[in-house]
Amino acid sequence: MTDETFEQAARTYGDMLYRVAYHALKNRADAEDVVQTVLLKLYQQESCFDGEDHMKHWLLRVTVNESRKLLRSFWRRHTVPLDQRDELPPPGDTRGDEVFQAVMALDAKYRLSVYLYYYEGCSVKEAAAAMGVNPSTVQTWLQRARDRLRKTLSESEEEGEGNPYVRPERVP
Amino acid sequence: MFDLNAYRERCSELHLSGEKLQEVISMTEQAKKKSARRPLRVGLVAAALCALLVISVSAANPEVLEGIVSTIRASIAVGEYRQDMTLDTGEQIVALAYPEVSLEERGGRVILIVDGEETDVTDALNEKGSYLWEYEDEGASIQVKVTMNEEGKPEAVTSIVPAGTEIGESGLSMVIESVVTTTEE
Repeated sequence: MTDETFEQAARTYGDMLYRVAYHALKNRADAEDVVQTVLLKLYQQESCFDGEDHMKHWLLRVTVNESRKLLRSFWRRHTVPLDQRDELPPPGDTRGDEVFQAVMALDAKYRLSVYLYYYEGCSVKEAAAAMGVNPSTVQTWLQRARDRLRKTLSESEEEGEGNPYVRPERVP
Repeated sequence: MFDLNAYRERCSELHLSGEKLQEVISMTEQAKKKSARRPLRVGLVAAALCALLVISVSAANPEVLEGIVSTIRASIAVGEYRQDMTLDTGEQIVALAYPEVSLEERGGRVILIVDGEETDVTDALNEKGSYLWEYEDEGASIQVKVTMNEEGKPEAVTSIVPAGTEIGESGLSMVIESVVTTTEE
């Protein structure tokens, strides 16, 4: 791979790789480490890709694998972050924040399935290939993820409706 | 309800930092300049093997690893799991890395996972009492042996040695045990 091709690929897919790793790991620094590893593997890749789609799917697969490796690693399993919790953006008051937090609260396999299917636009088969499982498994995970999101989000809506505090309105 | 547009909008705000991207690009440029991955001649490889020192790249000896990393002059990947390194002092070091090994129980089946590659070892365990996963390339030989432990739970033992060395006979092989986890399918 030439330097120019690599740089172009890194700029094109860097954000995508970061989002995949972030969905898997829920931590910015770890996600960046995974992106670095994946891009270096891309740079060292000797065989050619059949096209952009081939490269994209290869990158997705390697990113999922590297994220899993990090999740299973000794240090990740035996150390506790300083703040004792996963690093997530602070909860905001927009609908997007609420939905995003609900997705990130799911198990890693559900989060990744949701991200690949709904954000990246992968088919079930493509998402399954990226995650190294059967398409039927991804279908099950997506179904469960949807059920859990529906439950979580409808509960939060109900809580919102039952809020006794009313925002004061300015009287003209 | 799951608001797809809201989710997509929020996701698109996640970006890899420009600094990190530039750092990776710079790393590849520097690697090329230093020619760190130039191939070794056969004679040099033979010399390296004579003065063999195997290092377990593990959490057990971070200080040793740190000292070595700070003095590495060149590093050459020999196979999937081996790096031959030359220190500033001229010493040759062979570093072996274990594959990622785990065992999972899924619906009564025992699955061995080595670097993401899954193998159902249930039948082998029932019939022979063990399953042996093997890998060999120009750099290293690896065996992962799955057996049932005293408590009747599956257990994996990973051994790795430089290519051409007998696993079991060599004192250089190292062993780890994996943890059995039960996953929801």
